[in-house]
Amino acid sequence: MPEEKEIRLGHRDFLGWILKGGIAVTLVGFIFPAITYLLPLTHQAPVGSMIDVGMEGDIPIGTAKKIISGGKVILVVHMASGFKAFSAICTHLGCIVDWDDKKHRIACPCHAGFFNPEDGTVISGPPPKPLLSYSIKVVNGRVMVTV
Amino acid sequence: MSKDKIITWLGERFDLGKIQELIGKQVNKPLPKNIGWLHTLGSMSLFLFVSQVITGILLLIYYRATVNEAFESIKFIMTKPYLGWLYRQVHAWGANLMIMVVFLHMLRTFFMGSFKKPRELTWVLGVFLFIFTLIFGFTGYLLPWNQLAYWATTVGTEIAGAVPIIGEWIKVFLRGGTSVGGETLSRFFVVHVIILPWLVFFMIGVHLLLVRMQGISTMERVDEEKKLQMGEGTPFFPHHILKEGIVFYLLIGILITLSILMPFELGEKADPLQTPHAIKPEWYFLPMYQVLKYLPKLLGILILGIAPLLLIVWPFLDKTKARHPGKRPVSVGIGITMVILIIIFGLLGYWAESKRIIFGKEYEFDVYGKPHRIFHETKK
Amino acid sequence: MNTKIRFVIFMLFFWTANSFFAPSAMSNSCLKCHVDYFEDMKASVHSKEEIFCDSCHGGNATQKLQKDAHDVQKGYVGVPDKKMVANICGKCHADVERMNFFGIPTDQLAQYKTSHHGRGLFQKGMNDVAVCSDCHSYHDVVKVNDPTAPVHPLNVTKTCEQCHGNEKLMNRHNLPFDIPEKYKNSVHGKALMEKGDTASAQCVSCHGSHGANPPQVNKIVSVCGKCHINERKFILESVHAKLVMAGKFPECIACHRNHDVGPANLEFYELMCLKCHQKTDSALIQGERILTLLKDSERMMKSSALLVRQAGIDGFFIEDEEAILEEVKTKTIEFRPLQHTLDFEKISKLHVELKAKNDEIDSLLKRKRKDRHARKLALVFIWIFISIMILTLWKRYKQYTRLK
Repeated sequence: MPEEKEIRLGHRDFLGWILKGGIAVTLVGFIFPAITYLLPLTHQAPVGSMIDVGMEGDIPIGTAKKIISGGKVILVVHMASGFKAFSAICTHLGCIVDWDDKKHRIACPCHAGFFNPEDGTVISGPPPKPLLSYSIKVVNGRVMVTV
Repeated sequence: MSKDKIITWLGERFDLGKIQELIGKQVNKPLPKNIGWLHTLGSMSLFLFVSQVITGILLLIYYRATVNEAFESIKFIMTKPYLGWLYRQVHAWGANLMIMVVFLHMLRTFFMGSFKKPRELTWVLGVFLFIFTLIFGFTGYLLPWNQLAYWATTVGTEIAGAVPIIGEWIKVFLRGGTSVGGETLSRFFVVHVIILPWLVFFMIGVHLLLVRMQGISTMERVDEEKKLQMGEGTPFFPHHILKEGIVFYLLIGILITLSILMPFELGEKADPLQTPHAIKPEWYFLPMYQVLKYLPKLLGILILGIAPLLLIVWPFLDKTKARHPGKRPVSVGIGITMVILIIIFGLLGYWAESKRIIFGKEYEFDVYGKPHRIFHETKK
Repeated sequence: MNTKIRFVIFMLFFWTANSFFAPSAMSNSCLKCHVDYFEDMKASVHSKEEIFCDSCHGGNATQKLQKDAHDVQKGYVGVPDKKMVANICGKCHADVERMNFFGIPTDQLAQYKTSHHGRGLFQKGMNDVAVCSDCHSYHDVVKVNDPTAPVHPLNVTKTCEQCHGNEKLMNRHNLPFDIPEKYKNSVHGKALMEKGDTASAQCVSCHGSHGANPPQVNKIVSVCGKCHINERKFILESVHAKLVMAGKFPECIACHRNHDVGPANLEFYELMCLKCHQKTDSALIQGERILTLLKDSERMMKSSALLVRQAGIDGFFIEDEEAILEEVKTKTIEFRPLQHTLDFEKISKLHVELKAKNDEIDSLLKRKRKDRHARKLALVFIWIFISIMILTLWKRYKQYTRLK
């Protein structure tokens, strides 16, 4: 009889180790993913409907920056009169417009449509409507576009 | 060494013996022999509540309860943070499972007659907990601010408007305005994450305290229950705990599996100008919603209002002594009828306003869930 | 006192009369008899400027008797012939001082004289060519931007068609009469008449209005290039530019045709090049290489659009991919003008850029699908772990119950 009990105890001990280990694994399995979930993201979190374009100094006057965020392509232009932001989708056939460094205009590469970088209106070419514009603000040197 | 030190340090300040005795009493408390797998439904509910609280807190870290941001922040949770999608899915599935488990727990209590003397108050608290779980579901459903949520909430709050005299006022009060909007979202958010969690937390506390104080009900007749002595029955620890552990792992498995294989899609952002076809509330409100369709407004509201009241006062109406379901044919009959009715109305609500192919024939179900055969022009 | 009252009565009468008729229309004696013509011209630009019958038809509008008013000696014209029409209109419209403040150009008559219409009328004495009134109408002339004007962009084709669709008339001048029909089926015609796109080219966009002429071969690129700016720019970079300038090659219309311009199509490479080139030409081989790139780019755009859409249907979030798809679309559209350079280097450079974007979409979506697959795989391990735990717990439970 005592022999039997010992064997059973040995067996129980083995089960005990599995149980203890399993519970430990379960706990780690709960806590570890939660911590990774909490890790700060290098990506830009949705700050309201604002998109952080970057530092003011990154975009000198007379240049532009294209950003892609939330399925939208936005062209930010730094004019002498301040920052402007437009949807970079051309109103003609939906090409992505770009900043023309030499002409200081927004140009569509597809059909030579030109837009006024001050207000997005069509200067020349086939686009039927002005570019959609977004409001843009500079807060503490950071350029923020409101979508 | 250090362990002894801590114990002596604590011992100098607290009466450790007494505390140990108290815990021991609780831990070793014998449970009646008839305790089975169905008795784990209660702790499953508790586990799901805890799971909802934890996943809810995690979601709150990235969630923003405003009209402009709610949808986007959920999308953010589902795409950017590591395992964010899992926490949202576990929270959403947990809510559905919780409603189911709490309801099953209530059914078990009903059919086993556990609600009878002396446990009437535990039952009343339980009914409230069930109702609050439903409100949890209703308020939480709006928070992703997608089309489904928006319109289900619109329909849901519309029902309140049917209450005579004060209905319109209640509706506007619930919505925080004449239509569902940013105010509604804020209200529902506050109810969902502040008011209900604490309310339910304390109610669960009292509910559990009552259960521990009065012990688990047996199948014996009222006033004839024998008090279990130490060493009798099945000990809570470790016997019953092991069973609960099994159920706990099973539940985690089911939750994760559902989350991965049948994820809740986010759908489209709420658009107050575009009403989708066949708006329906969540499945757990479907039976109620369907009942309302058949009845005149006032009668429907009356019946829906009476139903929870009836549940609450049930232990005071049914004062018979028998607990065994076989010995109480009337109440068991009522119970089964109600469950069947709920299932039937739920199914009718589910089928309503949809097209389905049954035995190779196409049927269209109207608003009342009545099928109409669709005949297609046969090509010659 | 009496005179004062009389004056007031007179003034009252004057004011009331004033509100019914403009003073000069009232005093113009032509209108006393020709009420029907006045009905026609009441809404015209001319009557608003108080230009009535006598301004064009001559005669004396101050005379009450028909005989005196219609005095040929005093310059009465009656119904003017075509040559006179041009000159009568030109009398004012070619007068810089007169037109200055209306902001209207004054070169219409000069232009007209250079047109086939004008030369026919003035040099060849043809009497069946179009003159001012044939297009602008006469009594009821309205401004060009008035949608009812026969020369409004939406109506101009119909106006030209009156003559250019007339078989008899065109045969007389040895001109084709099916051009308006051809135009209606062209991309321009459809854009104008079906979509109401007034920016689309119609007759006068290419031929000019008052100076209407068929463009010369070496001017075609300029004519089309007015709207198709990039195409013009790139054509002038192509190997064909010299031939174009020499007037030996009607560049645009060689492939796209003129009045019946159809939708641009890659098949042009296979059909049109052979018009001039031999099958064994090295130029044609180069063309085939370009064609392969173009076909490949169209295929890539379609395939990535399909991939993104399918991913959306499968419940993935595809915002980032959609944004890249916009870039892919841009690059694909950029090919359309760029191919006119027939420069393999430039075209293949754009093709490489497109391919990079296309691959980006592909790899992003693949990663997402792999991720989802990994979740399912993880499920297997989770269940193995859960089964072990459940089994162990159950074993333990059995041990305890057996121990009792």
